[in-house]
Amino acid sequence: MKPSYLAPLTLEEALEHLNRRGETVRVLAGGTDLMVEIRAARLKGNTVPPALLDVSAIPELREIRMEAGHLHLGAAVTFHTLEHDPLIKKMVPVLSAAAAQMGSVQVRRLATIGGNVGTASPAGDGITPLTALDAEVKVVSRDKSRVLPLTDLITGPGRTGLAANELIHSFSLAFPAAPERCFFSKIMRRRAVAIARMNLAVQIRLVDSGMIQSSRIAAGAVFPTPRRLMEVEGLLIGQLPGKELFQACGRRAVEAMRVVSGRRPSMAYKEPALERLVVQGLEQTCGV
Amino acid sequence: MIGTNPIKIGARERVLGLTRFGVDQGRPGDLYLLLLRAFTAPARIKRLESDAAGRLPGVVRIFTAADIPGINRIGIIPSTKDQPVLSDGLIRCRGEAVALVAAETQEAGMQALGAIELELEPLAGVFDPKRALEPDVPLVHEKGNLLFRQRVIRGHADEALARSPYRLRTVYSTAPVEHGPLEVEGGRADWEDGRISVTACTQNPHYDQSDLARLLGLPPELIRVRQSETGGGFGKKLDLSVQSYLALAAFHLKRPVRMVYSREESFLGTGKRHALLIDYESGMDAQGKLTAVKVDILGDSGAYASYGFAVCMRAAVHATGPYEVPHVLVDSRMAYTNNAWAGAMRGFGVPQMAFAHEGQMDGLADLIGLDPLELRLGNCLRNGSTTATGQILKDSVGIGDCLRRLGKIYRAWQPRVRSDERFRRGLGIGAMYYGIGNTGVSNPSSAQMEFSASGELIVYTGAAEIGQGSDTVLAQMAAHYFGMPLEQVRLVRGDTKRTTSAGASSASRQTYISGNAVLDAARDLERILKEGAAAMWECRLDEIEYKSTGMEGPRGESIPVTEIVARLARQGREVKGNGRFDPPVTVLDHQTGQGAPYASYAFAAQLASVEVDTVSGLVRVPRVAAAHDVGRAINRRAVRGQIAGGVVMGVGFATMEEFIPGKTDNFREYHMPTMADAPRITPLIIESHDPSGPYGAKGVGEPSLIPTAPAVANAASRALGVRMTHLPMSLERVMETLSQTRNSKPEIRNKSGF
Ligand SMILES: Cc1cc2nc3c(=O)[nH]c(=O)nc-3n(C[C@H](O)[C@H](O)[C@H](O)COP(=O)(O)OP(=O)(O)OC[C@H]3O[C@@H](n4cnc5c(N)ncnc54)[C@H](O)[C@@H]3O)c2cc1C
Repeated sequence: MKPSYLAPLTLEEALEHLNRRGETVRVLAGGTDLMVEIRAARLKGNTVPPALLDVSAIPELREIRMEAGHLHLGAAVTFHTLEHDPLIKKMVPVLSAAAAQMGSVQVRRLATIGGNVGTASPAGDGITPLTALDAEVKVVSRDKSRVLPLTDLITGPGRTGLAANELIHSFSLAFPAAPERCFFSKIMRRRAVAIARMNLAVQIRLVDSGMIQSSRIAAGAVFPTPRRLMEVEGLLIGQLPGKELFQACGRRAVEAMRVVSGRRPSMAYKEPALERLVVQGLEQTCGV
Repeated sequence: MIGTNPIKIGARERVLGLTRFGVDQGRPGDLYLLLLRAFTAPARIKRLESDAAGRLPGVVRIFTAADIPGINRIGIIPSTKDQPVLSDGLIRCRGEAVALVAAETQEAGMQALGAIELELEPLAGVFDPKRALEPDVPLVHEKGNLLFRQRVIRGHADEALARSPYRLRTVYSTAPVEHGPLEVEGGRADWEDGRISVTACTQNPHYDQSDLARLLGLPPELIRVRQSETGGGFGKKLDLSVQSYLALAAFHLKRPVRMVYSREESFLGTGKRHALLIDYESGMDAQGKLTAVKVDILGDSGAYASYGFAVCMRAAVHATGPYEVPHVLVDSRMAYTNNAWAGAMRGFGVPQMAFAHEGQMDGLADLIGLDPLELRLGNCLRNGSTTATGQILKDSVGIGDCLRRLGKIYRAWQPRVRSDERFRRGLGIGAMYYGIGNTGVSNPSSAQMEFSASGELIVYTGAAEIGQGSDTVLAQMAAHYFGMPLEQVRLVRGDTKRTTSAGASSASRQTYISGNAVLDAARDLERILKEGAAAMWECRLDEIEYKSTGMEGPRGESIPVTEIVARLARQGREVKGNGRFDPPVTVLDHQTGQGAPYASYAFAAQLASVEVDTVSGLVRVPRVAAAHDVGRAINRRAVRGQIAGGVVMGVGFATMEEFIPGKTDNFREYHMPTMADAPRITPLIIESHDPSGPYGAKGVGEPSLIPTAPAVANAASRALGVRMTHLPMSLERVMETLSQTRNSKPEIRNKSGF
């Protein structure tokens, strides 16, 4: 009944295991989603995975380094590290800000960014900033490795395109050429330890004239899969920050949500919330 | 000793992790008990087949209702015991227990659960309490869907309302709420010396014993219930939970058994706070005096009675709030539905009522153009006032003092509470009164006390310590009476074999009622000791003086307490003081609800500051000031602890908590406040000294929670400019309100806000 537990210390070993028993083994990183899932399955009398492959101790998966204008982030980097690591705080502050609002102190010590993507929740607090930053993800198996946009890996709510023998290896984020302002906000039913009712990551570059030169915006729990709000970004480029502009952006975001996600009962809340969240996010980012 | 701050008895052990709670009772070799529950409701069991499951390896036995030797109906209120321990063929609400598995391991038990074949035939149900009381609806129980009705009639409310220049009518509603104590239900049972011994977390070991006896068809003496240390209750551990199953299995198997609910089971398998629908009309004269209230209350008891009767009655009695109202007409009904069953939760209906009467007071203040605090002060009860049930309150009416103390803070906070574009801010007041002990019925407590050979003072009490601090407070009173250090008092507590009933740890009653019983026992013990000394020195009783060093006689004789105890024991006398206290109350008149249902009342008022985020709809409560008339604080630290816990629970009730079976039945979906949601709390202890209380004390356990939600709701209403009439004020509800009021002028004045 209890799954067997494997904790390889090298990537090769892990991939070998996955290759051999991919169908029956589940990858475990922090376990903050997986253990909850296994417990729920147990209580319902459903089957639980026969084996767990703990990848959290594999050094390669815990790496953080700069590489040719990119930040390389191992899949097993924890949210605690995302929150506090000086390099990450400096280079991708939006990710640190998101990490700081994720779970609780205890959860952040365990939970990993790879696990967040592996779960592929529409409300994942790590996924939204990675999406805004156009993260690429490296996926490896014993015999091959591939690099693809994060948004391509996540195929639906709670679904990824990972094959049974594949592992998320790392994420790669391009640095902006010039300084950018950023913002992360999360709506919760209480002020801590809650899954996002909605979240928003914004990164904007203003040129000296005050004009918006580039913008990246992503929202969580708005679309079935993570997605940039290109519709809104388009409105901003080349414009001067301003209340009316931002309000138009808020409305545009709601339109995009309607088109992609359709109408559901939860929209009565989500429409005004998204509109206001976008306006507030842009105001705060641009200091309006 | 009285009014000091000794550290709570047991606190050290808790901090060090040494405490053994109900969930820690299991020992190696015990059988595991697991329940099969049904999730379709209402339904009829078409087939229940457990033979194959029972033959699985490691499975010892599977029990169904047919294995219950006594009466398969439990419930704390004698006239409404209607809940089967294992389904009697019907599934009346989601999560009902159907079969009990005893197995050598948890795993084997789980396998058995999966192998039991259960076929259910769905039935038509009723889920709306209003609809439940209409004709031609499915009946939850054969006797009909009306569980109980209580009216309170004083004067002529209709006529008085018709004459009133100001009238306000509002409909309020609240949601079912889960208690969420840290410890889930758990315990162990064994078969010892031909009796069944159950050790479990509970709020009421002596009640447990009597209902277990009924269930097993045994005389109560053959069942011993011991209260383990209990990790919180809040009303959730008043009804029987694991105890029934433990006792049943131990009875049949004559082997030790253990059981612990999962958190999900703990949500499903215990009663929730009753959802109430309250239609409230108030009248006021031109001077701002309440003339009349007319209140219609409809409660949802879910599928079983539990405490529905008591909540229905208490809600009716407390409907006016702590105010003088000459004309009162309250009609309170409690209905059965196929929803999750409701039970006791901190306040027994009064938190819901306070939300309504305090909403009314704020609404009336706006209507008439008076400050909400002044309006309350002008109407509140005082010494000599008559309550809605016609009871004259002679003394210890501290509500005015509570409000006045709050007034200073109210005026200090007012200029600081300003709204801006994003956050709407407001202040709100909530006030309440609360009858200590059960409503209009005898609810005695008893205690014994003796000196050990080494001079320790031993206090025997049935009062369940569930974290609220009754151990400490009772020991303090005993120590104070005999002038001894607290360390020399030892408690024997919550064991049906060694202690007598103290009644439930509920209704904020243990400090007041068991405290009085302990003092009664102390007086009795002192009398016995004095009699011994008087016989020895051949003097009158009143010539003997008790000093903490011993007894002193009229001619300078003296003898240490331990020696006189030994002397009396040699003479074959039992040197044990017996104490008892039953608050003097009268039964409410069934037609009019008139009477004196409680011997003492606690009073409280709280002030909350609230910040509503217009982006998310989140209602945050940065600060609460809480003024509580506790009569006399036996332990000030414990009172402050109760206030802090109550306020945080009240914030949850006001802003986020809502139990929806199948949806919010675990801590992932069901949100309770975290420390980040807890306000900064300023506790203010008011001591009105109740002459009927032990050293003047009343109770504070439930009162600490009751004014919070009303204060928060009133503050949010001021912030938003609209009366908030439903709890919880969830993101969705607040957002809807914001959207509706975006472009309209606020209905409610917010002097302190925008
Ligand atoms: C109390 C609590 C609070 C939480 N709060 C939040 C919150 O605020 N925001 C939020 O977004 N989430 C929250 N979560 C969810 C969870 O913590 C996160 O999704 C976390 O990032 C999961 O990471 P993990 O390392 O624990 O993943 P695990 O549980 O170990 O794994 C999750 C999934 O990813 C797969 N996986 C893990 N690593 C890899 C890999 N390298 N390659 C391939 N597949 C992999 C696993 O097989 C599994 O399917 C919370 C959880 C709890 C228990």
